[in-house]
Amino acid sequence: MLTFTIDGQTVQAEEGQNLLEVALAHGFDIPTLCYHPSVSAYGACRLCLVEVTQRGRSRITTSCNYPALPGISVVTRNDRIDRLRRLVMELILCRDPGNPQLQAMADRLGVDRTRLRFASRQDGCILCGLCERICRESIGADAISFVGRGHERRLATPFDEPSESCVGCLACAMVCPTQVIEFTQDADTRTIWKRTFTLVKCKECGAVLGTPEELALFQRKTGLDASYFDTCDACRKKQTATAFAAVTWGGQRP
Amino acid sequence: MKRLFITPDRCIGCRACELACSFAHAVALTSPALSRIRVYPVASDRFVPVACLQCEEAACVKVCPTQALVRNPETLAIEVDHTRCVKCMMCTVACPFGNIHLDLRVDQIVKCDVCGGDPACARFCPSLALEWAERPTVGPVPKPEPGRVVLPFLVP
Repeated sequence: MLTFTIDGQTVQAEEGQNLLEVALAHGFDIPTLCYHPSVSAYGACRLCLVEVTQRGRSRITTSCNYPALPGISVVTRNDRIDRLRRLVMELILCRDPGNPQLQAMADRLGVDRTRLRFASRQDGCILCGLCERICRESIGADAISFVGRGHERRLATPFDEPSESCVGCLACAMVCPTQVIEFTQDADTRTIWKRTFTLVKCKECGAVLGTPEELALFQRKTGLDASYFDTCDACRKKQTATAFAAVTWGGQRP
Repeated sequence: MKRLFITPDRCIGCRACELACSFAHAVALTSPALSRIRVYPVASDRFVPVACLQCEEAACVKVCPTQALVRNPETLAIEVDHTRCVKCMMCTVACPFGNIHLDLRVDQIVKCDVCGGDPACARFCPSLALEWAERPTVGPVPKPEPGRVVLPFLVP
């Protein structure tokens, strides 16, 4: 346990925690686009800037990848931080001024327009790499990564081909802070990153469970029997009720 | 340590638990369809309430790729950390009892969290089919003690 202050309030943190994690846990409001508690911090969006004072010296730094240290004092908001966050927001916003998620964050920070223009592409991707981190660190599929340099940098599967590693779990699309990872799903198939998956259905009612690759990956990771992954939640609940009834009143168990 | 006990043969099928649950967890709207406890009629006079059993070695916890399902040490209930959840839905598939769902109306994974230590379903159950207690009551159901909140027309 170590102790430091955030906006004058004394807080306690475990060693190895970062400032953003501690601040959010204590109810401080710090804007961020690229942070996710389940994966490593990357410091891409630069919106979580705070001022850290240590031994009389202060510096502006991103709180998501700055460790909690004993005795430091952290300021989450002042004029300087607000001004810097607004500048960063303008830089991010120029990537796609029409993106609703970016507009919402810009509104929150008091930015109404951007003075810059990112000409080569306006696809809403802010290159935070959260999709890549979730895919690699949490799902364990490692299907996408950054490709290209400079203004050509983007996220893609190797050689833009449908990836063999992708399991079609949609975690990347769900965490994308600007919601720009496209996927389509109909009754039988799901398509993401140019790969089309045939969906597995509940063996009782035919509700969609997921892709075969996704179910196999999670089965392998958890070591659970394949029978855990073949029935939907609604049918399972009915089975549970039938089993409870059998235990209570006797009769054939399902 | 208190637990949620389900005794199906006392259930009268009134579904007050479903109503209480959906009110206790109202996010944007409340509706018994959003309840985390569900009463199944298995015969015309037999009902089974089904809610999360808070398994010791839970399949949902095992399968979660982002550690979004965390056991609350005080209530022993497994709770969903929505800031971590990526809605991959694997918990809903893996739960062998079907007690965790993605609710599209609130776009969240929902499951029983025993209301943080005072489950509304047990509070409103008029017949002790649901109990939040150290041990389940054995024998005939006692009359509700004075002041206990029950729906007046449902007093057994």
